[in-house]
Amino acid sequence: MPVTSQDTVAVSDVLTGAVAFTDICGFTEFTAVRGDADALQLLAAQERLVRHCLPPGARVVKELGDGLMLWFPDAEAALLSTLALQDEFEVESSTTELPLWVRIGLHWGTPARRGEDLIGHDVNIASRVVDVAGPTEVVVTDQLLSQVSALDVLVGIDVEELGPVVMKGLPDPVRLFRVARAWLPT
Amino acid sequence: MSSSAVDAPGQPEVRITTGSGSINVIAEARADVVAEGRVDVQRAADGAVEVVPQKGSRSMTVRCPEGSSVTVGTRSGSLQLEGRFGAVRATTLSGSIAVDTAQSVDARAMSGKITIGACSGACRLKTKSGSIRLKSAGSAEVHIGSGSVNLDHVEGSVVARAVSGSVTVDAGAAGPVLVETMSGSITVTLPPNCRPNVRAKSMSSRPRVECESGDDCDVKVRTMSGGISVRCR
Repeated sequence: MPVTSQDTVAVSDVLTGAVAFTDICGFTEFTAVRGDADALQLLAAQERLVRHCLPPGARVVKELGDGLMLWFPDAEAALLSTLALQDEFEVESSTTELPLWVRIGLHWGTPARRGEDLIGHDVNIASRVVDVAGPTEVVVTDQLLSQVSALDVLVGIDVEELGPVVMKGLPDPVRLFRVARAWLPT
Repeated sequence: MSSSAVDAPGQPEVRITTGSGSINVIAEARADVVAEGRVDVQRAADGAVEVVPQKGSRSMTVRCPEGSSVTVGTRSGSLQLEGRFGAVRATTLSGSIAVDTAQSVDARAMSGKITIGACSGACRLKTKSGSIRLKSAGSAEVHIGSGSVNLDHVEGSVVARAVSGSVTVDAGAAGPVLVETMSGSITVTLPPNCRPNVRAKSMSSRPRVECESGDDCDVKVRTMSGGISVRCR
C-alpha cells in the first residue's frame, strides 16, 4: 500500500526549538505530610511562576503530574527563562512553607507536533535530562548550548560540563551541562 | 588479558563511558592511560583521553596518572575511583559511586549510595535513593530522595536537602549552612565556641539550638517532619 501524506509527518508539523521538563522533587512525600490542599497550592505556585517567566512564543505544552513540559522557540530565551524560574522558585521556597524543589532539563531539537502536544526523540531526550538534574538545577544538552550564540547571554552564568552521560533508553551518551547563576540574586 | 594504552603525561582529562557495567578507575604514578580487556583508548579531538568498550557494554578497569580529571558514566553498574584525582564527574543510573580523593566531585546516582573520601574543593552529590557519606570537603551541595546523609566535615558552605531521610553535618566556622528535609531529622555540629546566627524551623517538634547566638556564620535548617539539633563540638 502506498504511503500517503497522512501517514507521514508534514514538514510544517516539525518544530525547531527547546523542550524543557520541570519536576518537583519530593512531591509525593510533601502530599503525604501536608495533605492534598497544600499539594494543590504547591502545583498552583509552580504554574503561576512558570507562566510569569515564560517569554513571548513559549508555552506550557502539558502538565505531567507534578511536572510541566514547556516549549521555547528560542534557545537563549529558554536558558534565561529557566534560570529566572529557578530564582523565583528559590524566593518562593524561602519565603513560604512551600518547598519548590524543582529540577529542570532542557534540550534543543526538532519535535513533531501532534495537536497541542509535542512528541519525538528530542522530547524523549529532554525528559531524560531532567532525571540527571538535582533540585534548583538547570541541566541542558550541548545541542541547546550550541544554539546560544550570543556570548553576552552567558555573562554571569556558570556553565559546567557534567560529561557525556549515559541515560535510560538512549543508545548514545549525551553531553550535558549544568548552568547556574554565577551570582545569587539579592 | 589484553590492554590498550595512550601516553598521557601530567594530569590528563579522561572520559570513560559504558552502556552498562561497573567501572573501576585507579589513579597511580604513571604517564599513560591503560584499560584492560577489549576496550578502545584513544585521543579525542579536544585532547582528552577517551575510553570506550569495543562492543556494546562491559565492565572495565582503567589506570591513569595521579591527578587526572575523570568523567565516568554508566547506565547500570557501580563506579569506583581509587587514588587521587583532579575533577571527578560520575553518573550512574543504578549502582553505587565511591571516590577516594579528588579536588572536586560531581556525582549523580539514580539509585545507589555515594561515598566520598576527601574532596578539597566543591563536592556536589545527588542520589534518588541510597545514602550519602562524605568524609571531608571544601564545600558541599547534596540532595537525596530517600536515605541518610552524613557529611563528616565540610569547611565551607553546605547546602543539603533530603526528601526523606536524616541529615547530619559537621560544619566549619565559615558557613553558611542550609539544611532542609521534608521528613527526617537534622543535626548540625559547629566548631567549639562558634556563635552562629541560627534560623531553625520544624513543623513537628521544637528545634534544639545549643550554641550561643552570634553572627559567626548563618545556619538555616528547616524540616516538615523531624527533629532539629544545632550544637557546638
